[in-house]
Amino acid sequence: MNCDLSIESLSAYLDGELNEKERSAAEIHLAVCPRCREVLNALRTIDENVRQGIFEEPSPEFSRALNRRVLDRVRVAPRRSLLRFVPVFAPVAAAIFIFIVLTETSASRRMVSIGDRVAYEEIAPRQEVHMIVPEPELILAPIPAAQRQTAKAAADRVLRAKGEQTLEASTEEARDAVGSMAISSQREAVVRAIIDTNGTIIKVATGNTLISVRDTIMEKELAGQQLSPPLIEGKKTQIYVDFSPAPDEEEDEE
Amino acid sequence: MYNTSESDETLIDAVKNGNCDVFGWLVARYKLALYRLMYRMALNRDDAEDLVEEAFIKAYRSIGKFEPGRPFYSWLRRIAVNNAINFLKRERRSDIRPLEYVEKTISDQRNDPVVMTREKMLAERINKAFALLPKDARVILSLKVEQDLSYDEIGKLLNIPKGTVMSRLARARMKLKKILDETEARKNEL
Repeated sequence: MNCDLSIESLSAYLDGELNEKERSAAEIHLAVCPRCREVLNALRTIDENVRQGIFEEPSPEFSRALNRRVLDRVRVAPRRSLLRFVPVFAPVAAAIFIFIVLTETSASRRMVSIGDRVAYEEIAPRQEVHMIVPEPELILAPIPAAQRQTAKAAADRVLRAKGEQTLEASTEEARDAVGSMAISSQREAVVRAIIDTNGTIIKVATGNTLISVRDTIMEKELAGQQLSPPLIEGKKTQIYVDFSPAPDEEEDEE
Repeated sequence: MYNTSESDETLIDAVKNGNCDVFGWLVARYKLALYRLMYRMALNRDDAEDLVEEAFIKAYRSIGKFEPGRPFYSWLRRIAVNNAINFLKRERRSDIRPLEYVEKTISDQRNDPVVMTREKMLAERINKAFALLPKDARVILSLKVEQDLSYDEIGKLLNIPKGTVMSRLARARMKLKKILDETEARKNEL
C-alpha cells in the first residue's frame, strides 16, 4: 500500500500543526493504514522518551547562589549605564576627535605669509622676541631711524607728550592721537619675519608697513638666530612678527 | 515589599523603575526551567549553569526592550536559546559524538552509583541517545517536546521558516528512534 502521508505530516499531525483540511485527510488515511498508525505511535513514544530523559541536577551552588551572582553582576554594570551607548557614541566621538586633530594640525601647519596680518594681540598679549635685527638694506621708502616705529609706540609717545602738557588729557584725545599716528605711520619702515613653531626664522621681508619685499640678505643674516618657540595660549605657534626699535632706543634717538 | 506571588509584570515594572533586587525573584522563578533547556543544548551541567546565568544577565540588560503584556518566560527563553546557539558555534562542538564519549560523560555525571531501577536505566539510555543527536535536532526536539512551543514560535526563535521546522522536527524524531533502536539491538546482542 502506498502511503500519501509523509513522516513530516505525521509529525505535524502529532503536534497539532496541520490545518483542518490536512488533519481530516490524515485522520482518514490513519483509519485505514496500520503502517502509518504504527509510525505515529513510534513518534509518540519518542516524545514520551524525551520527556522522561533525566537531567543532571544543577549544582547546589547554582540552586543556592544564582540569584546573588546575577544581582552582583547587574549591580556592577547598571542597566542604565551610559556604556550602553558606546556603540553609538564611539564612532561619533572618534569622528569629532579626528576632525579636531585635523583642523588643529592643518591650522598649525599653515604657512604664515609675509602679507598676512596676524592679529595675535587679540588672542594673547604681545610677546617680547629678543632678536638682533640689522639695518635693512632694502627699504622701499627710506625714513630716518628716529621715525621708524610702530603705531603703538608712536601713540604711546604722543600720550606721554600730551600728559606733560595737561594732566587732564581725556581718553578721547588719546584715542584720536593713536588713530592719527597709526595712519601716519603706515608708511614707516618695517622689518617683518615669520618664525616657525621651533623659533627658527624662516622668512624675512623689509619695506614699509604698506609694501614689504622678501629680503634674502636679511634672512641670511638672521638665519643663525634661534629664538624661543613662540607660544599663543600655551601652544607652539608659527607667528608673523613686525620688528620695531625698542621704546628706550626711540627715546634715546629723540 | 515584593513576594513570590507577584506577577511577572509587576516585578518587571519594579526592575524597570530601578529596583534591581526584584530581578532576583524572576531568577528564582525561571532558573530551573531554563536550566533544563540549556542542559539539553550544552549536555553538561557546568555549561548549562553558565548559560542560564548569562541569559539572565542579558535579559536584565535588555529589560527596557521587554514589551509589557507579553510572556516574560518566552522572551527570556529566546534570549537564552540565541545565546546558547552562539555558545555552541563558538565551541565548535562536533554535532555527532561517539557513543563511547557519551556513555563515559553521562556515567561520570552520575553521583550516586546505586542500583538503578528499570525506569532509570531507560532514562539514561534515552539521554545517551539524545546526546548523540546533531545539535540542530537536539535543540528543535527540546523546544517542541519539552518546552511545548508551536512551529511558529520555534521558527521565530531559530530564525527559520515554519516548513523547515516541520521537516527538521520529523527528521530529529526519526533519528532519535533509530539511535534508540540501534542501542537496544546492541544491548540484546550482548
